[in-house]
Amino acid sequence: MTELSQGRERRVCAGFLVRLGVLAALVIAPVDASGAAPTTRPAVRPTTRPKTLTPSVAMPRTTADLRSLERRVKTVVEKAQPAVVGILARGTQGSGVVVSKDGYVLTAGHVASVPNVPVDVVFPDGKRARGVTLGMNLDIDSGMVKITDEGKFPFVEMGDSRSLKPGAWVVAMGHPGGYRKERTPPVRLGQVLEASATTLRTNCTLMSGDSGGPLFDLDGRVVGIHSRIGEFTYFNMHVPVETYHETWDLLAGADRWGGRFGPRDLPHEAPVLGVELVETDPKRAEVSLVIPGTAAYSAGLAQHDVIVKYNGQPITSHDKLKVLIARSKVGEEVTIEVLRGGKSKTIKARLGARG
Amino acid sequence: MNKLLAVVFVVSCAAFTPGAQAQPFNPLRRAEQDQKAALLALRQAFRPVVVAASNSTVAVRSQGKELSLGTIVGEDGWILTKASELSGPKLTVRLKDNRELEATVMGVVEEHDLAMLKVKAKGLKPVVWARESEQLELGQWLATVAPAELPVSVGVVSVQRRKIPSRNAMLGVALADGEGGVRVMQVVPESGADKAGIQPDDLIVELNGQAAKTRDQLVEMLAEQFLGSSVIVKVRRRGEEIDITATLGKRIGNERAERMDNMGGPLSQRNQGFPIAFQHDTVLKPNECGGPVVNLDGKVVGINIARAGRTESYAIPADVLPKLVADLRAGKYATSTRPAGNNQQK
Repeated sequence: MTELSQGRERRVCAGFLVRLGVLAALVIAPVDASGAAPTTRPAVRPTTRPKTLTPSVAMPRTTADLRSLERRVKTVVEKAQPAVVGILARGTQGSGVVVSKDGYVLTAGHVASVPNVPVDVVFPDGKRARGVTLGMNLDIDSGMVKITDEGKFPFVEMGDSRSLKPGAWVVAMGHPGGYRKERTPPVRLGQVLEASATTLRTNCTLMSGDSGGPLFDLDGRVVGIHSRIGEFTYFNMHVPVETYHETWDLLAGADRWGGRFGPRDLPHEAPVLGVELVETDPKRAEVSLVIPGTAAYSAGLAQHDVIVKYNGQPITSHDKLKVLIARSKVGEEVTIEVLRGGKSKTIKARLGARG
Repeated sequence: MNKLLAVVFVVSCAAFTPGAQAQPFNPLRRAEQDQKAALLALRQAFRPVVVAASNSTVAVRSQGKELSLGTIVGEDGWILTKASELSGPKLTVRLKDNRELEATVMGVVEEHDLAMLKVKAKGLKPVVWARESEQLELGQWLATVAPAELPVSVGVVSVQRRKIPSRNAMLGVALADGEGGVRVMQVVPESGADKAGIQPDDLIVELNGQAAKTRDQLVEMLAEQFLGSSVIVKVRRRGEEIDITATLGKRIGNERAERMDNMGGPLSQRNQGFPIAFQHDTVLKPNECGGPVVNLDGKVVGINIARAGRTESYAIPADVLPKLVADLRAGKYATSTRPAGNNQQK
């Protein structure tokens, strides 16, 4: 889906938020979204996906099984807990995890909320560092913060969430109820219950304040970031870390896109093209639907068109297209290159506003 | 993702459409069944772990209703349990061998929320406390024992022992440092302070007989109180000193976090303000507190004292219990001199 389908998505999500109680509310109050100017930053991916992952999906049957699982969990806590942080911004609180020596922090989109806002990052030992929010994909609730103070920080590796199958044991940490100095980030053990490209569901219980905190595999690598909860203790939702790998440059570049989670932009601020994309291939921007009455409709975009360039910039993923649209302005004329029936075609469209 | 969203959608419908008919395939029910099956399989693995402690565990009941679990601490019928759950007439305890015995409350340690029960019996099996040297480690398995073959539930150590402050209780005053005490700046309408007659401009000089010199000091003293407890506030008003007994009410402005904490099951009424407890992630019901918690060696490392939130249960560490047990058995906390509930004398 593109930004245009957000109206519908948001309704689904509103039910989600309001009825199920998403972890959003304790965090940052909406800040003027027009302040979210994209900036250029060095975007160094701190880690690559580890080659192999051996998720343990086995249910322990004997005391010996329990002991060997326990050993791994204890090691995860020992190794990873120092990198679990509290994120304090404007009187509200979330969690995060440091994934590079120089202080890139993964968090939830609704914790970061808006780019370029100063935050405090608090480590379990009480040490504080200053930081700033970078990018966020508010469609899936991923977000990033960078520690701006100089220094070397405890960090953990990012893992591979693609191979997580239901049954995989995972460890959650974070700051339920917000950071408390007398309490280390509580450890919770559970299993993956469902996994999709944009959401992991586990029975690691989460609470408000946990948002942005890490979910680890048994090798102590980050495989998810806490996002929201449902009515039961086995409805705890996390953003898969793969999405951070995929959109690292956009997040580190302080881009903000999407809108299912986090504060809603004012209608006149959110430029809209007016297409939905074929979801099965997130790297290929094939139009599945042109919304009548929108910029795309007036400009003559058609179903099955594949958008390959936007204002001269190559489109390598749905997220890239969404980011570029988000960077544009309402009323701006944009040049779109599409492949239609194998032939290249250039189309000009004047962006509308979200109705 | 579609499956997940479908589940979520059903959840939202279920929450808001009372009387909605069950569908042929109900993803929510499926999720519940999966969770139960997984937990059962995991509990099975703990069968050998809980054998010993299950013989030292009882269910505390009132007219067939389960109030709490209890921990046998003396072969001649002494049983420790969670005090604040003991409401209702005719307390009984049911042993693992299904014997049901009448129980009397012999004493209550209010600050720990522990009660000592006595039943007429001989040859019960008291728990064996884990040695002090057996330190808990974060992430280590814990089983909440029942008087049964399998544990009630299992979890891991989340946070090492600490003092659990009281967060949901408030007196209902805005305070500032004053001359020789703490000045009441505002009184929250309908709060405990308001009902007790504390007024703006009163100078609080003592709380429960302890001098209150600064605002921070007083706030700290109040934080040790919990919901429903009474405090004696000595105030200076127009040159006169008055003792006022006020009951701490529910803190306001906490509703959202509270609602989330309740998502996932009911919580213990008394779930904060403990002198010492470690935290674990076992999902418990309020009436599953009061019994022993064991490690993988089957050693009793503590007693569950509260289901405190969606993510947290608290247990009193084993090494502080023998002394409390001895004091309770010696009658130091006898209920005749200190009935359960709030009975602060003026």
